[in-house]
Amino acid sequence: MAGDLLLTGLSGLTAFRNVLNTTGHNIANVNTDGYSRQRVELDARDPQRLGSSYVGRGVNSGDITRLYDQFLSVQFRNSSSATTELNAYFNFASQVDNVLANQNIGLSTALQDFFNAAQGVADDPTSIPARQVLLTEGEVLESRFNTLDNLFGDLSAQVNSSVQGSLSDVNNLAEGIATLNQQIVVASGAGNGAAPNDLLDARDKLIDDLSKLVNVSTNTQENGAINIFIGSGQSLVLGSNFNTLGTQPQGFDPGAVDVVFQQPAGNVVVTKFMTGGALGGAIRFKNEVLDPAINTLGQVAVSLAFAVNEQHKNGIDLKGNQGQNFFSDLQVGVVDLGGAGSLNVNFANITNLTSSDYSLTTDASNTNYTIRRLSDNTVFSGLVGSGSVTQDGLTFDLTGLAANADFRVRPTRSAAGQFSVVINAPEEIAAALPVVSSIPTANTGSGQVNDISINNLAAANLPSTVSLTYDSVLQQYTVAGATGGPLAYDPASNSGDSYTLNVAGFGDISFTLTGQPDNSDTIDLADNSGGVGDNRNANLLSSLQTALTLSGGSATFQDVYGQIVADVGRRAQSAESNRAAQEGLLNQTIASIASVSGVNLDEEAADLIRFQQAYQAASQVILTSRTIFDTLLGAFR
Amino acid sequence: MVDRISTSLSQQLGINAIILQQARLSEIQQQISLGKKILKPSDDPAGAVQVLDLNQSLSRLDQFQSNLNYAENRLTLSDGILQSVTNSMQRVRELAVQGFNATNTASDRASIAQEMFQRLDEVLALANTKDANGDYLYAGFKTQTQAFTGNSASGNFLYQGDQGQRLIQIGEGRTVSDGNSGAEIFFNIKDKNGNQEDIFTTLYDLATDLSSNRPAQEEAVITTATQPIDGETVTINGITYEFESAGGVALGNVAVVIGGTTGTTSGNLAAAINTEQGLGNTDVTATVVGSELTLLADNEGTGTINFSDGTAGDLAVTRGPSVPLYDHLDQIDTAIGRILDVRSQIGARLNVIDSQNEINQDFTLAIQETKSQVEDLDVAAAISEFNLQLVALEAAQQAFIRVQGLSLFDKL
Repeated sequence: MAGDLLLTGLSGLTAFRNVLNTTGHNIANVNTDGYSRQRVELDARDPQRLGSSYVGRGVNSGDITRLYDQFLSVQFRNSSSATTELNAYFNFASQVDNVLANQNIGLSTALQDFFNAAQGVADDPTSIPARQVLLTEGEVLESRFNTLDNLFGDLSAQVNSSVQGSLSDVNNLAEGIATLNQQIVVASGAGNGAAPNDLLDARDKLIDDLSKLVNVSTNTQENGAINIFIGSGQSLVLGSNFNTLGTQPQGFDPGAVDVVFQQPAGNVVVTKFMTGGALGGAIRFKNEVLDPAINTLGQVAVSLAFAVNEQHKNGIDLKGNQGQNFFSDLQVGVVDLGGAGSLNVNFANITNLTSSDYSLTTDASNTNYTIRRLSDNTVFSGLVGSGSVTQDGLTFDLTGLAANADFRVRPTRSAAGQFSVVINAPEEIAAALPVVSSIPTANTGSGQVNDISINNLAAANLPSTVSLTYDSVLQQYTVAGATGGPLAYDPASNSGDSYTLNVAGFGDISFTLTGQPDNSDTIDLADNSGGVGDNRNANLLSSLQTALTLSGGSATFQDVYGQIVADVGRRAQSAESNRAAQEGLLNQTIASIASVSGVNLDEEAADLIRFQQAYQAASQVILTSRTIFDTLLGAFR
Repeated sequence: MVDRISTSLSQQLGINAIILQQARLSEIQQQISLGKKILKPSDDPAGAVQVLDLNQSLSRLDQFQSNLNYAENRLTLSDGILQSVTNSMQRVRELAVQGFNATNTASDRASIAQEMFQRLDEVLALANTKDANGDYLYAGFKTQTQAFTGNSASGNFLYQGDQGQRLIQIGEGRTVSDGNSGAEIFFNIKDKNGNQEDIFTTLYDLATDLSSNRPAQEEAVITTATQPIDGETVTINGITYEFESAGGVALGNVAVVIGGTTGTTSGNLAAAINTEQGLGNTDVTATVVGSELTLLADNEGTGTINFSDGTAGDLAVTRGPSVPLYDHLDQIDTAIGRILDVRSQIGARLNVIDSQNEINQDFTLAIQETKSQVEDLDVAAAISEFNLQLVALEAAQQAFIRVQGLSLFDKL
């Protein structure tokens, strides 16, 4: 009986020491990441039957459990993946955002200055300084395009190294989880089913960390191991085995990397399955923000170079020579993804040009080709035999194609980086047009030629003067020296109409006719030799600034550049607000987890007091047991 | 709301609150120091693009102002020059009226003609004016080619430029010509008969006539038989023409060709000339009083009279009939009128420039206002928010210290 009391007291002492130990463990781990507070489960021992009643036999200190909520932890991982994804996305996007916000880096000011400088040349076509300014502004534009391209290239590299860093972390974590899986299985067996709480915490912590890199889903096995699936279901850890992730260069873009599972049979590309977390954020940023920005910037570069060159080549320079390319002739990037044959693609016009990449494939018999616009997967197909096809402002030369060809066409991808000024002397700026009109004094009417413009200029000098002679009976101008006449002109209804004449070996001359010509009045279109004060081509060049030449004739260069700014801004903005929302959700979950698993020092202090008192009380029980025993011994003395 | 707070979370939450306040505070601080509410496109994507567009408009307007100054300077310069030309022409007109006064002697006329030649050189120099950049103002597009050649010594004036006219953009969709070609101002002028004349030749001929003491109204009086005979001479204004025919000119066999048309054959020279006249050649009128044949030139320049007996090459009078004084004055008036026309065009353009200047400035103001609304910060509101945020941050810090200072362990 006294022995029972002793044992009872002893059970209390043991139990409370366990509890105090656990409280101390909790206090010690108050700042440990991923630690779940532990609790000793106390329960009364089975009672002893004494006669007609049961007498208690003290306390049993049962399992030490961790306070942990599986549901909350899944919720945490989901939130955490989403938050870090948005965080990575936002951090990258805000870099682009800041670049575009900077007036000294952004393209917009340089574009304005370039066209203003063209107007400066128009103000004073013979002024070498004014021409030099235009040339310099062209170079500024070149450096802006190149700088932006470099910055975007740097960001590409950052994305790559971020992806590689994340992958190496994922691999480390996978290995750690696999190891812990093994330890936990062993420990659970050794502990006869008792949970190795701190190992579980450690593993949960690793899975939490993994969830910050990529989406994670888990599947707990009966033996205590956890299988890990990442992204949209790719198995990373199975028991104590794990897969290794790596990168490899993309086939059509050596500057970009794909995420691969490194399998014995070869690498399996899983880039598009890697969603969520820092990894998913970086990949999504590249696809949604960076690549479109680079391509659209390239579209501006291509269009600007194309339009300015076309106009410039239709003029004559200060020395009377035909204008050369102002900017370098940009080439369409074509990558052969394996397969025979060759493909040549050229820019046909800028109005229909898009910022998308394209793929071109042929079937096994090289009969049909399929062009796919990758931005929206629109398919255009036709017969290879047609020789060439023009689609979206690109002319595809089909003559070199072979069966099963597979090409990637990237019209605007590298344009911004290759954009450069190629004329180098201010005299070479073609501010003048090669044709000037003159009206003989003998004319008695008021017929006039206005708004002369030139297309497809092939030579700087008009071979011979083109004469328009009015016939008031037939109401037409007969044309000498050019084809395309006679030009029907009724002063009452045709004044201001446009007409085009062609001079073989020279080009097309377009103009408007106005006024009231008398019979046999003539208008001469003569070679503009010595016309150094002519500013008409400079005016035409500067008018390109506001011409709606892009995106199917709906946008200016600045508009398309503005699309990048708006798109990046909008995406950065929505990423920021989504991140804030996700962070709120995450904090909520963290608070919920903390309320279940977190250590509260005040609570532990109270536990310390409570169980210290209990421990002291249990000691008193033992003391009492001894006193009883002594009393009993004294009675027999 | 959770009812159990872990110690580290409560600490974390306190710190998070402080960090959040600090971040917001720093953003407002940046906004206030830059005076902008859009610091980067993501702050307001639509606004950011609008600002880009507005900046483009502002930059274009800036350039238009600069273009406008160019055009204004050139037009003002041109106006000044044409004013001087007008003054010179007026002076020449006065001199002409004075010079043809019958009381003048030949030497008076010669000295008056001297001043006229000076004036001609002056007008020529004005017409060849270069602007500040060394470009000829009145050469059309050929601004590096001397606009007019010729001089008061030899006459023979030529326009070397072309009819090009530069357009300068001074506003959205608004262009103005920065000058007129020399052809239009000085050269391609029509006299009252529809023939081309130029200011310089007009002045030159006038001065030459005056210096050679030509009569005010050009007349040639030929005294001859009703038909010229071989070797007979006619003197018109100091130039002697000789009728030449190998075997003498037979009666009824005199041919008169005026202006290159088929000749009229008549036995009477005056009748022949006047018959030609009737055929539409209005250059020369002949009258016979007794044995005096008077040839009167009606027009300037054209209309050579060929006397011939029907055999080619016998007699050719290649000197054109000269111009009466009143035609001279008429030509000067036409020229002055043309210059006034051009000057009124210039004035109209300067007016357009002035009003476009105002329009541009109004635009600039309006765009700046819009831009300001889009991107500028409401400073008063921002500062009050800044203060509020400051208070909130201090409160968060105070709260953190108070809450974290509480621990049951202190009481143990």
